[in-house]
Amino acid sequence: MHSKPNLLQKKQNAVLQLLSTEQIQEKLANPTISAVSLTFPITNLIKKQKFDTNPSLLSYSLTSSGFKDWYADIETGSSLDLPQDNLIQLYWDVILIMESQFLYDVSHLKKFQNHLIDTMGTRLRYNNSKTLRDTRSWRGLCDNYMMVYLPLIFDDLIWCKYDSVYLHVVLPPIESWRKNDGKQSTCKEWLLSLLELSNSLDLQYLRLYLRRNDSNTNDLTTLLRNLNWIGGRILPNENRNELFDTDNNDRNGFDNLMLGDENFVILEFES
Amino acid sequence: MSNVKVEIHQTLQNSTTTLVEMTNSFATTTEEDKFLAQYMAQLKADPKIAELPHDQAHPQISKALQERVRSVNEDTCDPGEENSFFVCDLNEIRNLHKNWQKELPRIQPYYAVKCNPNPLILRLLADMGVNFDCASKLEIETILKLGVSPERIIYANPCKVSSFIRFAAKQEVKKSTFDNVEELYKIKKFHPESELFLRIATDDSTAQCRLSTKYGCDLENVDELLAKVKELDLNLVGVSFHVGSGASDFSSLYKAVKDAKFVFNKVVDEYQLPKLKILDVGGGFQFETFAESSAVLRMALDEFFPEGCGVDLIAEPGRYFVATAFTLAAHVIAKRTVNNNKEECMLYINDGVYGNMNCILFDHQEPNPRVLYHDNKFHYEDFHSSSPKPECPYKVSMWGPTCDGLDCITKEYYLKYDLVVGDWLYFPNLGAYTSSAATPFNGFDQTADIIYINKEEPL
Repeated sequence: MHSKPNLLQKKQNAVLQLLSTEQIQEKLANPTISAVSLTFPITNLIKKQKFDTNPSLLSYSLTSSGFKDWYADIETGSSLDLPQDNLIQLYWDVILIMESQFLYDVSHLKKFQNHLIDTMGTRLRYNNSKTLRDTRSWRGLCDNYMMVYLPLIFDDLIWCKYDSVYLHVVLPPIESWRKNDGKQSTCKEWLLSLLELSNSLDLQYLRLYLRRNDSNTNDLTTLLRNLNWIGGRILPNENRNELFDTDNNDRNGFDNLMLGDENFVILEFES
Repeated sequence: MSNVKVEIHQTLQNSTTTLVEMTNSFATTTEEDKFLAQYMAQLKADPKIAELPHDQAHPQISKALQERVRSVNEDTCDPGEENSFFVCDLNEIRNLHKNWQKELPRIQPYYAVKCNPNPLILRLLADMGVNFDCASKLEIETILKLGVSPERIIYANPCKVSSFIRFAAKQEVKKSTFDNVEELYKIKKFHPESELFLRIATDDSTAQCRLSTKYGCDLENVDELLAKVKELDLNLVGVSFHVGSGASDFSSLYKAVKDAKFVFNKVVDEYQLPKLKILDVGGGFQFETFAESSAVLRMALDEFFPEGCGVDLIAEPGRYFVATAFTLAAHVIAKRTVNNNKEECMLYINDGVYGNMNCILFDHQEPNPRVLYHDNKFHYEDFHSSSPKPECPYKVSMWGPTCDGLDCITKEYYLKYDLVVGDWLYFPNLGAYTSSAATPFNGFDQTADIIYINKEEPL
């Protein structure tokens, strides 16, 4: 029973391992940098491409203008310097980790992985980059996937995906939140950094997925109680009964049965 | 009351002049607290303070509720098929505005749009000369589309993303609050023409929604911000504060006004910046306690910012203008008996925290369910048809229509009647932070009809 959850953990460890390059570590050691993110389009999954398939590295740091902002790290450029096969493996792992956040039972991870590869393959075959997508729901696969590391706030990576309108962000479980020594400002700090990230990607909305079990903890209670004040709103969870009523071919059936957002409180902010 | 006020004046005149010194002087602070407590006690004892500003239009609200429920019951709807609905009394908003002008004539209200962005309400408020406090791009757009000048908007989101500031600049919305250095740098870069309000932290410990806990600059950090304002050559025009919503101790208003005066003086005396022109006294005003809060505020303003002092006064009321204007009606869609006890049950109704009652989660509101329709009779006028205490025989917990554990309207309430599926409840005074979640933001459909009464009443 416990071996399956470990598979997901292994994937996360593998991602962290691949990110432990000298260049990235050097960046994280830089005290002026508050966060880094690595983002890639799903078209990078296609093998034998001529163009550079390294992920884009963004840093969140104090700019010369006096405030923190995200900027693309041109200097570091191809930061990971990995063989393409390893890169592609990394990308699949990131996509799997992000999408499996909504998996009810991680013991079905292997089956879900096969399903995901199948679905993503279909999407890539019919991908039309000229079409702007509006993937409101966490259910849809996105054109871009992303990892964010906010080391001053969270121990774990933050998994994200986006198309042209929404940045979907799954916050790590509360165990990985760093103790803030009673400082009240951390909530504002991480929220602002994610809002700025969403803005720098030219997206209009940030959707945050907070684990429902964590919603009674101080940090999240503070966020929820200030939600109106800071321009956020809660979104209803999906109605699973309605999903069961829709056409139920095999693929939809798997999606509907195995995935759900009941374990999350979903918040939305303009960015 | 006036005697107490005089004594406070004398105490303060004898005390040190700056708050920093005062906070270092325990004796003086205690003395001030003592007199403030005395003033507050005397205020609360004044029967006029306990009086509500005006009577709500119960007969008309009742009539509107009954007509709608009758029409539903006469239709062929099955239980659960009919949505909840609001009755909105537009005359209540007019009365509230009149009352504001009576109690706080010197203060120009900037209605907090986030509280209820209903377009008809916004239009009515705009026509009455109320200005607007906006917290998002969407809110600014909404107000500008009403034809309201950007000069009548203050942008007061405490979590400012660069794009918001750029948007405000593009729309020529100049008034904006700030409470940290980083925001000043953003404003310098994207909107240097801003008319800035330094938001100071207040004692909001008795408020239900505490805002200063996270937002607002402590007085000991004001110097850093003023120095930065000067260095960046920004246009600081005023000070703002917010004592939080649902406060029970309004002496915090007095203290906040006093703190604001401290900053006003500091700006001129220590930083040689232009004299500030506007004081923003924030929000947190409520119908039930308005007489008390406005009395304290008047007293503080008369002392620190008397008429003719050259400072304009503004405020950011939200719930005051809308809470009592809305009544929500919802009906029972399911019932489950608890522990085989006929006098204890779980009632499920067709509205909840994901519909029009997210104020429960995020605004600390505790809606009061009252029986509207049961056993073929209407019970609107029976204000004792329910109680939060065991004064009525039927104990219920009340839940929204989703299967979500958060969707709980009340864990324990007592009803006079044993409601069944198809019966109706109503929730008075539910206009603040309720329908805002259900308005058609981002394509989500509005989930409740609104029946307007007294729509055509002249302004």
